[in-house]
Formats: sequence, C-alpha cells, structure tokens
Amino acid sequence: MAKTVTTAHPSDPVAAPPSQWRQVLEDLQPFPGRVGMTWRVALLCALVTGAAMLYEIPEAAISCYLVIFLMKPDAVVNIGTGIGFLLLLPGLVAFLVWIVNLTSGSTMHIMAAIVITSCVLLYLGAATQLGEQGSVAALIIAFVLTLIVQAPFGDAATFALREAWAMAALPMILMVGFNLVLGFSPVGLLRDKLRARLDAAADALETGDSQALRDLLREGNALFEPQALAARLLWLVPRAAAQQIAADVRAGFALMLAVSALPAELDPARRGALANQIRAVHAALGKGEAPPPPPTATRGLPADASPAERTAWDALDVLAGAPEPAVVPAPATPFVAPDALSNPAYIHFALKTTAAAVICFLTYTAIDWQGIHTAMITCYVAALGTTGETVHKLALRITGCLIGAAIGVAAIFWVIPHIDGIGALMALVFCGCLVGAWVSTGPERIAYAGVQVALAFLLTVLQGFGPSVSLDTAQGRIVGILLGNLVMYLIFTRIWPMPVAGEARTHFARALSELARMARLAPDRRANAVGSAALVESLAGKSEEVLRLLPFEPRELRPTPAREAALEGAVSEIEALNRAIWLSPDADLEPTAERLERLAERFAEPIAAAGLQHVDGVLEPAPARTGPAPIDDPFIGQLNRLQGAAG
Amino acid sequence: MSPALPFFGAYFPSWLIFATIGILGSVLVRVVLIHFGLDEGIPFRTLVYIALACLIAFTLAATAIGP
Repeated sequence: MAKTVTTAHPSDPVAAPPSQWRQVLEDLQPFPGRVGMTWRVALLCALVTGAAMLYEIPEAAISCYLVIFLMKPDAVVNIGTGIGFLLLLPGLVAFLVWIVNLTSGSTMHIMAAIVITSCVLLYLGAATQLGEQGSVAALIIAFVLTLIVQAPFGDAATFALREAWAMAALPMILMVGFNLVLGFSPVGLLRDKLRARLDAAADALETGDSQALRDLLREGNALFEPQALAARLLWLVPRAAAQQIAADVRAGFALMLAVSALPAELDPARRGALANQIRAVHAALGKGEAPPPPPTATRGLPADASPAERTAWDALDVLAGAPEPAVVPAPATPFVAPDALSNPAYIHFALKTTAAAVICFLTYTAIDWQGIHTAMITCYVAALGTTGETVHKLALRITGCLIGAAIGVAAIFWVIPHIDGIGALMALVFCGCLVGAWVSTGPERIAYAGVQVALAFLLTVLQGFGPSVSLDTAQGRIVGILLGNLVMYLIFTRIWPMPVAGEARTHFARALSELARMARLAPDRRANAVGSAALVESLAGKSEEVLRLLPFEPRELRPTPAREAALEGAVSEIEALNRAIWLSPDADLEPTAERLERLAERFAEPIAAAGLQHVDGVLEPAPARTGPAPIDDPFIGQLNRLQGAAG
Repeated sequence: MSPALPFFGAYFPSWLIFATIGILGSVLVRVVLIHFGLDEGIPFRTLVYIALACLIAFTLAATAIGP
C-alpha cells in the first residue's frame, strides 16, 4: 500500500546533482540489459579478432573498434548499419581512388585534398542530422590520404585501399550475422522499456522517489518511435500487435508524465489505487499476458479530480487495449539545420577541427614518428560543438586510454607469454573487451571512456597475426592521444570558443517554440500531443546535461554564477510549463503561446545581443484582446522567471 | 582454386554470388509468406529463414557448378 507522500511534484528539485566522482560510480552501476549487451559486444569482438587473424586482415584493433563504436542494443538498427556500411564502402574506396589519381602523387596536392574533404565533411556533419558520421567519414578519408602521402604510387596504394576495405567490411559482415542470431529484437526492447517505465511510475507514487522517473522522462520518446515502426514494417509481430506496441510507447510516456504531474496533496487512497493498477499491468506484462483493464469501481473519479489523474487513468486504459485517441505527431526534425547557411558556428567548427588535425599530422611527420598517428584520429573523434563538451570528451579519452593501456600492458607481461594460439588470444580479447564494453554500454556521459578503454587495450594487445609482446604500440598510442588532446585543447579554447551556455540556449529556444505549438492546439487534443511533450522533456534533459559540463569550461568562458543559476532554473521552469500546458483544460492559450514564441526568439539570439535589450519586455502584460474580459495568463509567474533567465 | 565468375573484368568467387542469391531468395519467400499470413505461425523464424537461405544457395551451387 502506498505510504503517505509529502511531495511528488516533478519540478521540485529532487537532489543537488552529484559530484563528478559520485556520478561516475553511479554510471557504472548495472541496469537491466547491460550484462546482456556487454557480453554480446565482447563476444563479437573476439569473433572479429579470430577472423582477422585467420584471414590475415591487418589492424584487427580498428575492426573491433568499429564494432564497439557502432553496436547498439537494437538488432534491427545494427543490421541496418552493417548493410549500410557494406553498401557505402565501395563508393568510399572509389572516391579515394579518384582523389589519389587527381593529386598525381604530389604531397602538396594530397594535403590540399585532406583539408578540403575534411572541411566539407565536418561542415556537413555539423549542419545536418548526420552529426558524428560526418566526422567519422572525414577521419577515414584523411587517415587513408595521410598513409598515401607516404607511399603514393601504384601497387602500394591499391593494396592499402583493398586492406582498408577488408578491415571495415569484415566486422560489418560479422555484426549482421551475429545480430540476426543473438541480437535483441526491438519488440523485446520496447516491452522491457515499458515495464521499466511502469516500475518507475509506481515507485514514484509509492515512495515519492521520482529520480528514476525523471531519468526515463528525459530520454523522451523519439528513440522508441522508430523501433515501433520497425516492428510494424518488418512484420516482426502480427499487424494488430504492432499497433498496440506503437500505442503502448506513447501511453507509457503519457502515464509517466501524468504521474509526475500529480498534485502533491492527492488523497493517498486514490494514489494507492493508481499505483496498484500500474503494478497489476507491470505484473501481467512480465508474465506475457494482456494487461488487465482498470477496475471500473476506481474510475468513479470525483469531479474535482485533477487532469493529471484523469490522463494517467486514460493511459492505463490504452495500455489495456482501449482504442488510442487520434495522435498529434511532433514535427520531424529537419535534416538540414535551418540556420545552416547563416550561422558561422558550423564553418568555425569545421575549420577548427581541420586545423587541429593538420597541425598534428605535420607535427608527427616533422619529428618522423609514425607511431603517434593517433594524434590526428583524436582530433576528429573528440571534436564536438562546444568547448565544455570537447574538454569533457578529452578528459574521458585520456582516462579511458590510460586504463586500457594499463590492462593491455599487464596482459603483455603476464598473460601473452603463456599464449600460443588464436583461440587463447580470442579469450583474452573477450575478457579485455568485457571491461570496455561494460563502460561503453552505460549512459552517454561515460560511454566514450569505455570505447577508449577497449581501443587502447586492443591496440596494445593485437599486433601482427598472433600473440605478440611488443610495448612500442602502447607507448606511441598514449603519446599520440596526449598530443592530439593538447592541440585540441589549445585550439578549441583559443579560437572562436563556443560557450556551453549558447548550446543550452538553443535547446531552450526549441523547447519553448514546441511549447507554443502545443499551447495553440485545441484543449482536448493537447493531451494527445505526447510526441511534443516528450520532445520538450528530452530537450530539458539535454540542456541539463549540457549545463553540467560547465565546470569543464575555462574560466574566462564561464557565465557568472548568477547566470548559471538562472539557466539551471530555466530547465525546471520549462519542465513545469510542459506539464501545465499539456494538461491545461483552458480553451484559449493564445497569449501564452505568443509570449512563449517571443521568449524562444530571445533565447535563440546570441547572448551579447540579448543582454543589450535587457529592459525590453520584462513583466510585459498579455496583449489586450477584444471581446470578453481578458483572462489572466495562467502561467505568468513561470513565464516571467524564464524571461529573467533569457537575459 | 574455388570457382569464380567474371564480372566487370574482375573475378568474383562464386560462393559470394550464391550466398547473395540465397539471402535474397529467403527474403522473397518471407514476403510471400507474410502476404498469405503464414509467417506468424512459423516457430524459430530466424533459424528457419537462415536454413532456407543456405538451402537455396547450396542447391543452386550444386546445380550450376556441380559437386
């Protein structure tokens, strides 16, 4: 039975964010599915190692890196990625052949080709939804071209291209086959996610501890809609079941959001009834049965029942198979960013990253130490929009690399001397990758360190086509990563630095204009706009994540503590507004929507420009309307606080 | 030397071609079975379709090139 709960409102701060160290420990805790994912990644890496050794394909470590970097829990996504890579690779090789022929072996021309392709691809990655894939493509092309600078002619280049193809194609073929047999089906993943959501909602109702619920809310729904779509399009389940799954994805989110918006003073008995029903659905799903419909006796909600309570029961109805009301879809994210041509930030990013990579390449060529070529790779892989993010990723990279290299060197000293076959080497790779994969399957905050642990370990251990005990690679690798990090740090903090606050403001602007769109819907359709509410939640979560990177920024970039507090306050104001508007029964929220749009524009402006017009519009009353006496804007307090944060 | 077929001036190993045909054939059979509503009733679907792909590939290879 539910205990009495003093407060359960979502916008109440749950607890101060934990310190960086506590956060790392928290991110290393097991969660459902983590063990399964970890052993799959490690086993696939061992298989890739074995195949690469048998067929004598060079650089098995890079092949394994692709697996760790690309493998996601969803088998359908992995198979798609694998097939996509296999289809794209011949095109990439053809493009490289064309470039190499064009440059006719002149070092100056090849350098120019590196600069141009890398600038173009980085710009495309930053300004479109391609994201990091642009960086990865730039990395591959630049890296292969730097190798060709050293051996520009004839057979050497052909051989290098063929080996590069095999290096990337082998792990992709194995990944497709492996996921076909042992991967997680999206249907199973969605069922587990739904159960986790129900569990978190019931927990929040019973104990008032809403931390798990907040985390799940901030994931948003955008990750899961494509999984439901894949289940339908690929006929993984019969059509009716696929429709129910898609409805469950939305109803699960609506239930969480409604539970998090329940008034704190709600009668404990009604709170308990809701929790019991959620537990019943959770148990039924665990046994593979259809969820029971809510008992009609508890449905006699009094007239004063809050909209949140009604919406929660409606969502439980849908979970039990009631028809879903017409869905109001969230707008799709445009593929090309709307400000792709007007915003110089994208070009700055491309130029900064390319400059860092070329400086690293010239440095290790000048001192003639090819062993540290990871310096250039570091620049592409660690490049991120804002200075804070880049420094944070550098920190993860250095830590992960040192841990991985330590494990690898330990293996060289104590394990490899006793190994004489490929099977035993595969077992060693499996054990080492377990460590890296455990970290890399965790939350995004630390996942990157796990990739680095595994990569440094593999590069130290896998040399040639069998067990080997040389320490040169480990040394070169560590120096390379440190050099790359140094150059990146200098460039990303000195040239056109991008403050973290700017990215948070962009997220706020998007969230506010989405809220304005939701406010303009007819009141009975607002509760069906689950996609929009989920988008706002995930944007709030993202901006909080971004703001937590503030300590990584150099001091001269950081906003004043007061501004930081205002920005952090804006996150919870947006979350509270999201619930209030989503559940609002008011017919006309037009004044609120207009005000939200003005705020969104204010947040979208650069910080300096917004600061200049500080006096304009603070505490501005809603525009007077003709007709009946104007209703006071119900959200005036929250909007004013947001206005303060906008500066 | 394994059997190879000439394509665009290069020699492709024949197993690669038969494997591709086997996979495509298995996908085609699945589309037909979905159309008739039979797909849902098959136990161990993944294994069945993988076996079917192998069957098509081996049969074709044995007929076209011989044992």
